[in-house]
Amino acid sequence: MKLFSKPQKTNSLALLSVCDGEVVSLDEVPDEAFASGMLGEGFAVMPENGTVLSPAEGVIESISDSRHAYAISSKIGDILVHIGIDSVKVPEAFEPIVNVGEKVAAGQPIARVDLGLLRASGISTVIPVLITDKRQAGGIKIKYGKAIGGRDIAIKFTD
Amino acid sequence: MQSFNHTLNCVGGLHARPAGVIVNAAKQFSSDILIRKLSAEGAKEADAKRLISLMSLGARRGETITFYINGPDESMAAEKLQALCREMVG
Repeated sequence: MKLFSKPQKTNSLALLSVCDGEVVSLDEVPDEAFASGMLGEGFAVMPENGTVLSPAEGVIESISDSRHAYAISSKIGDILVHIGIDSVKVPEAFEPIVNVGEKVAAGQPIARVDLGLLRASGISTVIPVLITDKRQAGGIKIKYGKAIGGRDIAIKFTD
Repeated sequence: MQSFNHTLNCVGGLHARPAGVIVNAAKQFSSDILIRKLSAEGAKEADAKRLISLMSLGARRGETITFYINGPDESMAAEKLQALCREMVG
């Protein structure tokens, strides 16, 4: 019932799913750089629609020229939302709806993506969400499975 | 202080994957490692140990970035990073 769901109020110790879909392990991302954890810890979402949301409150630090990668600095640390794999080749599939330097709330839409165009281009639509520079001490716990973007928690921090 | 230039030849410029390779290498050293990009809009600087900082340079294929390395292991770091840059094509 997306119609009635509101972005969940979270403390600084959680990341929300960035899209409606299924939260999966980074292992399932068809790119070694993400799957190996080289770029950071996190999760990935198999998206069901083309609205991508911020996983946390923070500031948009950068948007790639090809408009598929969004870097957000937050209390938790640096977060990278990377829409699709090798999507650097199809910039026309992406429409940012935030600007660099803009403050965002957890669950606020940051980009629209044409999933059909990505699929037609043979590009995986999976969205890895990485903590590339963790400022929060302790471990993380990931909740896998179906999630509503901007509402359901995908990562909780543990002591 | 050590410094060297590198002209990016990766498709898509300094996007997540090549930037991640640099960050992981840079983190192995205690020296401060700064990367500067000069362009028509002016100079931009990034911390080579922070992925999103590097990505915010928006460095494109064909653009030149300069590494500035300062600290106790600067020579080793410069050697390692230079070797990495030469290999980096993807």
